[in-house]
Amino acid sequence: MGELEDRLERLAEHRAAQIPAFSMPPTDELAVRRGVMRRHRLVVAIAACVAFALVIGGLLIFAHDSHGPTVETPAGTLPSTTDGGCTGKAYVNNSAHGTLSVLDTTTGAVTATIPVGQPEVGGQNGPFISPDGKQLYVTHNLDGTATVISTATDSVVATIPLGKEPFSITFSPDSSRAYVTHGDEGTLTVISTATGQVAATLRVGESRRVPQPNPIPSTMTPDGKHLYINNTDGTLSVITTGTGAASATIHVGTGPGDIAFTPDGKDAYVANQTDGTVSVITTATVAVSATIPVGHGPLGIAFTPDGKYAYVTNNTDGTVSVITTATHAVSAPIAVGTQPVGVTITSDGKYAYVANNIDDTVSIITTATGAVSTPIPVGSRPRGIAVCPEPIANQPR
Amino acid sequence: MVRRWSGHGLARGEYRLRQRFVIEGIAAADAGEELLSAEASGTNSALGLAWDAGRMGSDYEFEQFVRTIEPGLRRALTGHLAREAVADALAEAFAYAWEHWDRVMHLEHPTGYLFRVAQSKVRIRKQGFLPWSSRDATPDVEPALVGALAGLSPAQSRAVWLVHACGWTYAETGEALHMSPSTVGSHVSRALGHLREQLGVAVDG
Repeated sequence: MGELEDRLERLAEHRAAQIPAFSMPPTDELAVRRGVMRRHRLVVAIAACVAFALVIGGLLIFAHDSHGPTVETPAGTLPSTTDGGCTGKAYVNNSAHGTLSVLDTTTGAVTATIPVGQPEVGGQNGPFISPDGKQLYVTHNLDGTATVISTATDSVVATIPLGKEPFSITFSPDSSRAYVTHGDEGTLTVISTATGQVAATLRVGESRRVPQPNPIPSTMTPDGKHLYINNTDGTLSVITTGTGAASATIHVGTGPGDIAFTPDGKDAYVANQTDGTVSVITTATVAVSATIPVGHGPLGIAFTPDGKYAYVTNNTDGTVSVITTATHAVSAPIAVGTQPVGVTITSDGKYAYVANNIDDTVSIITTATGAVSTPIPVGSRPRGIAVCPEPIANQPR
Repeated sequence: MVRRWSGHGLARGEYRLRQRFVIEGIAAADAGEELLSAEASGTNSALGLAWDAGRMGSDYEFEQFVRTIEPGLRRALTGHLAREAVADALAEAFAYAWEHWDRVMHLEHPTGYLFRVAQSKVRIRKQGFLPWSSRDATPDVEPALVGALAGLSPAQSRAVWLVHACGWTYAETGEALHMSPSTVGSHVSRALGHLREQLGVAVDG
């Protein structure tokens, strides 16, 4: 524990020692108080029922004159998109701006800004791009929806009501299903990406707060058989996607952030924000096989397409560490902007894009040299960032 | 098995043992101290103590609940309340817990929840870190740190206070501050960065 944490503890101990401990009143006094409170609650409940009836009556009258719901709900199939519309683009989630910035990965220029949410509402997470590159999702955990964007046209094609606190989305390898984790007690919503309709709601775990809110708390194994969910309490749950059953719990470090799989699916890397480490999980054994110290506040992780390197954003330091996956050696930190969050790597492996949350910029690292570009201004509080996947026909087999 | 309450402000071993107490239906507080000693000494023979079924009523259970979480809750409340308000806030929180015991006893993070209740009862949920008044007999031991904490946003100071001064987990702190654990982590990270900068503390400190 560091000096600063020690000083905080000392201050708290000093203060707490000056406050007399709470002493329990006799329980018969508590019982009397509880009886009084129950009578009070009965009166309040009756009043609430009357008020509720009045409000419902008013709403019915209002609804009679209104023009339907404000949330766009998809019907039938979503507008079709074309292959290749996504190629050469990166999307940045401007979390406090209600927008996505679209970057041209050839020139590094911002080519479009897509309104996707309400900046005054906040809680905008993503972007989550389907493996086929056709769709991009953004979740809004505060209003319980997901916005679907066609990457071919960079326009919103649907808004899907998802219920309580939708956070992250990960896709089946064939892009037909999107799996949404929620911040409530252990549900996983499965969306058919063709229709935008909810196909299933699975219970993951029993009355546990399994999927906790994190910008990217869950990731699908490359074979699509399992989902790793970040419980944010120092553990991951491994969920079998077909059934929603939890098959394992993995203890990683403190304050886990992103989870990313090597392209071959053999290892999963988890950024432990509080510990300043990255846990390496061998997926065959579902166990941590190594813990790699990086910088302070590691948060985002992305692999180069060949799987040789992992790029990790050190949120506290304003740097990126590069891990050589074969040896677990860590590079000297590469300075980027203030409080970097998301990182993503272009499909040719030549560039890493980093979202600098406080600076409202994106830095581009040339992977061959570690050189960092002049920061590119985007929208307010960029967090997540994703580049489009390589079209399937061009992917190495 | 019904999950009941869990402890705050406890050493990790004590926390685990008290959880086991409740989960296994062992509710003898006096015996509990023996059990803690037993675990510390590497034995578990005291676990064989029979629990006093006659004392297993909700009154008794509530007493144990208060005894267990009170130190952690008191400590947490000293960050953002005036010194003279902490005792009142504690009393309000426990009165609420008693009135809603049927629900509170099943909460996953009751201390975090009651922290929120206490803040609500004294109506200062958005207040930043408070230096204790100069008329206090014992001034703060870390005046520079107090000044730096007061310079943080309310959310950052609360998060870093609960996590690093009080030893709460991100999940517990999230319950207390009504935010996600990842948001807690983000606030803590930023707060530590600001504090280190303000105080000139090296990262590895």
